[in-house]
Amino acid sequence: MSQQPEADAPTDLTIADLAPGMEAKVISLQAVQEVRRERLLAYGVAPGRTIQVLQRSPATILKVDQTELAIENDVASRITVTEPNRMKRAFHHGQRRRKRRFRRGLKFLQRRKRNKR
Amino acid sequence: MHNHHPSVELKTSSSIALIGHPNVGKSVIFHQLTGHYVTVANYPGTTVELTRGAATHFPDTAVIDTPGILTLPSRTDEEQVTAQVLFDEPLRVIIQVGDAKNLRRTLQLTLQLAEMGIPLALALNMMDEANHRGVSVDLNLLREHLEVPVIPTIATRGKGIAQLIEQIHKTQKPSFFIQYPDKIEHAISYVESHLPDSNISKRSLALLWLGRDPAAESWLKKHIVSNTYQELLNHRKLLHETGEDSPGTLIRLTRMEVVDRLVNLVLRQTDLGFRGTGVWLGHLAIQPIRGVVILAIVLYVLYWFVGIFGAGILVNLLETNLFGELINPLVTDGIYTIIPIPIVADFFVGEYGLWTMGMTYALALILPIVSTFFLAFGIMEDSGYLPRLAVLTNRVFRIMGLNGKAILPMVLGLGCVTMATLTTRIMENKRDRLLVIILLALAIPCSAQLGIVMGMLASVSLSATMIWLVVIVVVMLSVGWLAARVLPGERSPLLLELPPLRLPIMSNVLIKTLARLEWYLKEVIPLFLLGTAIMFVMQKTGLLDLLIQASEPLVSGWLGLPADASAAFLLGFLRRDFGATGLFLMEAQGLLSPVQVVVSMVTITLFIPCVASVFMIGKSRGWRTSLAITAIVFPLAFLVGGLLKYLLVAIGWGI
Ligand SMILES: Nc1nc2c(ncn2[C@@H]2O[C@H](COP(=O)(O)OP(=O)(O)OP(=O)(O)O)[C@@H](O)[C@H]2O)c(=O)[nH]1
Ligand SMILES: [Mg+2]
Repeated sequence: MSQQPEADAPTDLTIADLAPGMEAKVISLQAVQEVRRERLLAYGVAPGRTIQVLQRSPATILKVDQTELAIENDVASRITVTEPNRMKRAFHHGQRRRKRRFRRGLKFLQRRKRNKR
Repeated sequence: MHNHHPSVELKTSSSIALIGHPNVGKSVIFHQLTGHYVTVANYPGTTVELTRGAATHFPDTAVIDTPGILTLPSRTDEEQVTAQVLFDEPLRVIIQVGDAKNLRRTLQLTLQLAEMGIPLALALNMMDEANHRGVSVDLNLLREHLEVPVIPTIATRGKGIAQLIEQIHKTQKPSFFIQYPDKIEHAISYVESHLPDSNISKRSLALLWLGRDPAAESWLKKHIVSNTYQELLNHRKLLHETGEDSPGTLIRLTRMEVVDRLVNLVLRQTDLGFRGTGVWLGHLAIQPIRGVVILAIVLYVLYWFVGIFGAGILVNLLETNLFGELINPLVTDGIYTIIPIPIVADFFVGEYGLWTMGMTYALALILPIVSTFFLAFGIMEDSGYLPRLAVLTNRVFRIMGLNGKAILPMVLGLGCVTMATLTTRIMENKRDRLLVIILLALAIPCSAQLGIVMGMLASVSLSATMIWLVVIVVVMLSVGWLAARVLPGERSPLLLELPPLRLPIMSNVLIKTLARLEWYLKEVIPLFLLGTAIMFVMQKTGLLDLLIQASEPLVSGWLGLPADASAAFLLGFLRRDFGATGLFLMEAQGLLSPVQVVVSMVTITLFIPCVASVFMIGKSRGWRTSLAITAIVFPLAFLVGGLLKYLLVAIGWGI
């Protein structure tokens, strides 16, 4: 069993870093453009809520409650999440890819922080 | 596609509005409360206009079906239509239609509607799906907390509708109250002190204003003096600048907390891993490779059903056997004996006769094609496949500066470009809307034309169909690509809800098909008759020959078609499908070679949109846009057609 991550601990992970099957809690949507953020919140993609990634390509498919949402990866990479807590599938299939994504995610975040300044 | 409107404006002293999220069953419930059918389909954004119907169980009351709202304060055009209802209508009751399996989302809106101070009832619809997914709601507890009647319904099976009607009589002004953070409460009382009375409570009007709802803004602009309006604007602006979160966000967060507490009390979710065939197929349909395979199968079935069965077998039966051998000879003989004057008789049964051309085209050619198309299309709409198609095609639309959501109006355009133009309301911004309209006008054939095109190409070969498809797609992509670069504004990325795949309900598909057929024939027959009459006059006056001669260099020289094809293109000015029908008959008489079939089909597909849609675009986007689109599309159609001819001849295709 994977260790339960500390609730809402800040990470650099975004939805784009999650592999299909993983679940994580949303931390923030601040980086999403306002119109879109409002719509995501209305669908239930809100801080503190658990989302599951069903698929990554050709678009990211999320499940919140009983709603399935298709969002473009560009949007997915702007929604930060906690450490995912369902790693089983990831270990079988996408461990290396996940790491790569994780690193890419880190880079992305650093770039964004730099841009903000 | 075209709704079936009760054409009389209802004059009633009060009304009941059906309000709720997209795709939750509002239109189904509307049908049950009024007996009027409006289009029901399984994708968000089916209803984009208001429809009124007299309530069967309440005297002197209208029921209003509204477009679904995802967010209130409204953000998109169709949401604004609904927000407007709150201000303009003498609402006696609001029925919120909610999705039971997404309780959190539903209650979010319930709280907002409860604040409005209008009697409210909540129809918790889709109880069947909630049950399947192990979602159970403690209804009594929910009623107790909300102090609003909550009625579980399964609208498609008529379950709970009687209870809903009963409860409408008993609804009262809700007393539910949310306390917002101090900053917001202060702002509310400041704004409230400036507000005139409206249909909704001052508190909720103030909240909408703070959230920058465009409908609230325009209502206020009309109802308070401009100085006060300016003061309110300044106040709001100041509020936005102080503090991290905008007032809208703070309001939403507060409501979300309240909903969270409520949901924790009343919701039980068991058996998290619901996996039915529908879910499995739904996921398969959006996977990169398997999804495309499924799409290819769907398209092939469509092609077979409409192109080969409808436009081939059925048309042959009706056109050649029934009309050609039975009805038309009879009618012709009859008319010639009744009316001995040849020119008058010709007007009815001659080469360009109202019956032998106009009615025969409409009934023997178009009718079987559109019937099969609308039937297949209705099934597809109700299955929930269309939003998945949006996911699959997102990358393609990306090239054209759009997102996959654009597939919805485009596919609808196959039924009727006019209605599809209205459906562009579901696109996120003006730029996207205009882009879709351009593509609709250029490359989307309407169903009758598509059927004829498929039928004609099918009779040549599958490769002819593929060539046609590739050319149309390439033209569409290039024009879209160019237009996206010329138009200012940014592309908005895909964000779309995928409703569950559902088994289409045959009765709904049939009602929908019949309603659409009726509308289609009403629109098409007069135009076909008019077109025939014009052709008749032109022929008798010799104008037709002149025009055919004049267009000879273009049609025969450039496109390499027989001179007679000019007549078909002339008809195409009235309706593209009318023109296509003319070409269809030429092919049936063996006047067209394979290359000529492909070239003429490509040209007529890209030909200017029908008169009705030019009007529609003019009305919604301005006449200049409408004219500009027409002026670009027309030469482009001939340019592409001619180039294709040279290419096909050069590679020696079809010989
Ligand atoms: N399983 C199930 N399906 C339902 C129920 N009610 C409606 N539907 C289906 O849900 C889909 C949407 O129904 P509509 O009535 O078009 O929904 P709407 O709220 O008018 O949607 P928009 O006009 O797009 O906002 C259709 O496919 C209906 O057949 C229900 O109680 N159970
Ligand atoms: Mg509807």
